[in-house]
Amino acid sequence: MQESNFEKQAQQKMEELGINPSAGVWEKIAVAIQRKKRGRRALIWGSFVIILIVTAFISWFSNTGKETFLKTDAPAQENYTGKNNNNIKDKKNIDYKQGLSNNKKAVLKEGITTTAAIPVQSNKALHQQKTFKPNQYTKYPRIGADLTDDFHGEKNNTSKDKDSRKVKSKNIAYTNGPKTTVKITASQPAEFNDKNVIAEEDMEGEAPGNDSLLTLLIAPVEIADTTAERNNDLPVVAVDVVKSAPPDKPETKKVHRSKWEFGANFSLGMSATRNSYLGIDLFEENKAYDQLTSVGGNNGGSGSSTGYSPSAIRSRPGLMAGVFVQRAISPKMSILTGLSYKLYSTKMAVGNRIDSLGSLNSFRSYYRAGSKSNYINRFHFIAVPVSLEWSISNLQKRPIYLSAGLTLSKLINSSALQFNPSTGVYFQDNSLFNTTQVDLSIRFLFALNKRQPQSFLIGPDLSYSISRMATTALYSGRNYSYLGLHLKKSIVMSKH
Amino acid sequence: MDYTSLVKDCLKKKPRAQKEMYEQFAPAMLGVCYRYTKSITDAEDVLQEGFIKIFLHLSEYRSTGELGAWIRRIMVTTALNYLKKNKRYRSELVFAEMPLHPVSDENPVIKLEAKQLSELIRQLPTGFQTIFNLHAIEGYTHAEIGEILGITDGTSKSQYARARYLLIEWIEKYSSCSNQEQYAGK
Repeated sequence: MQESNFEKQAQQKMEELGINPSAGVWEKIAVAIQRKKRGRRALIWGSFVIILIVTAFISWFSNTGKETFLKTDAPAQENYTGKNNNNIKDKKNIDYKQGLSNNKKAVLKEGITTTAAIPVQSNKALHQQKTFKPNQYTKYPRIGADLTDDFHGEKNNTSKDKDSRKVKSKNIAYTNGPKTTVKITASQPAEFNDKNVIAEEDMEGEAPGNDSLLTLLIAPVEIADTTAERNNDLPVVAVDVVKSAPPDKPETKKVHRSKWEFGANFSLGMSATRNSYLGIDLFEENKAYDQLTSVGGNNGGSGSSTGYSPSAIRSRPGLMAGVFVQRAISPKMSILTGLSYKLYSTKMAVGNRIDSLGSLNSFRSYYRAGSKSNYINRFHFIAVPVSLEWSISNLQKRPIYLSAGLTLSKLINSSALQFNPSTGVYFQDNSLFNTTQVDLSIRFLFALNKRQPQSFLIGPDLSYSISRMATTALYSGRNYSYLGLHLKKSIVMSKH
Repeated sequence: MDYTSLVKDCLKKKPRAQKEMYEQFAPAMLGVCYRYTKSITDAEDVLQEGFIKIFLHLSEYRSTGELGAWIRRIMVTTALNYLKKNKRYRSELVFAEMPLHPVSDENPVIKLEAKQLSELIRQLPTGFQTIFNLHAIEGYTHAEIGEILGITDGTSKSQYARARYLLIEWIEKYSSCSNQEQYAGK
């Protein structure tokens, strides 16, 4: 509609209109601005605190489920067994651990030393009680046919000096095998002796393997030599074997894990370039740019609407793909770097495309302001990430990692449109962008396959550029932001 | 007038600069808000909302355009949003399709003062008032008004023609009437 004199007059009159607001208006504005500023800070700090709390909780939770190996340290017990079990009056328990810790033997008197060969069997009950009876015809216990089937006798170098009750023992070396602590106790019933003589021997060392023989030394045991003894009332020396050994593990190849890993990672999510945090309008959306596509400059009056406004820039999918190399710098921490390709995209409403350049021949292509169609702005980056990765879970089958770091990105190409508010034209000009970007990134990664924790890791991925997209024009004051799902596959270098 | 340093200080969140910017533009912007609403209280509410937006989004201001024009655009948008949100105005913003009203060729001389003219504009029904402000004062085309208000450009033209007709009639009556209090304070 052609502007008439009436409209021009109306515009001029309205330009003259000025009304002083009441005093309370500015006070309310000032308070609201301060509150919004504090609110943003609180939201940022609050987010960090929440992330820290979640991390601490996950670490605490995983530590409580630590797996431990149970040691079977059943204390050895003295048991008197023999032919006349009913005559057993005393039963004495000795804390062998104490005895062992003190590394003392019980009082030894003249007695007999003997050797007992006990087969070491894998997965055997830890507490075995073996008994052997001294030969009723001799004063000295002897190992051989008198022993139970479990014992394999070996001839010992016993002294056959009848006057001597000592039997020298023979110590046979062990063969290599799982470490085993074997405690042998030998005792005799109290009624045969005034004193309970306890002998114990703590054999600790490399024990034999399966089905091999373990030769032990039993300290001298005093055996009274009475007639009664000869009549099958001989004391019986009970041998308690307490074997504490680590439970059998399936034989696995020992693999020495290298500190180096390499692999590939991929991320898919949403990217944004708005002037807000995480691409999300935390407060009221800026509707000014959404609604107005004003026509400028021709209304005659000074100060009337001049210039055009660009349409809102909205989030769109983004992705990242790259390779990395990682080195462990401590049992729980590693440092990671690599090379990635990133694609961010946004969209905005534009009007008609102008094919004829005319006076705007400095631009490659351009669009009028409007909402005829959606234009997709794409940003292509090559990035070098540097990050630290913490293992925040001790469970071997459920590792959880927290990764945080910086990414240096270089904008290599973009199809993004700039905007000229004077002419209301969208055009491409990548020289207006800051091509070097620094991003902060944080990720939580969880193992995809519990059985193979090092196979795939997956988790949320958050990235925010701390450098501005541009210093002037449409993207000044804006930052790239990205939220997506990250997938990481590691290949561990190992050596045997 | 160059507001570059003022804008920079406001971006640094300096309270004195923010107040200076407010004092510089508030009277004119309250006049803008007053034209769109029915009371000074509503106009001040719109002014308050508008300036909060301005200070929060000042970094989006492109120095290629006039600061006053940018502030004005935000204020007009805030006023329109206020009308849409406010129950009192929302019902009156329904624009029924009506036959195209012939546009008057009259171009009377407006002998009224600015405040008087704004009072007459405020007397119009909300829909007429909004379209008249957007087209005659702000300079939007009917197509753009149609996009903003969600109506056809034909409806916008027709509504504007009726608003213009009414306003000219009132201006002529007001000008010829010796008693100006007949129109004040409505």
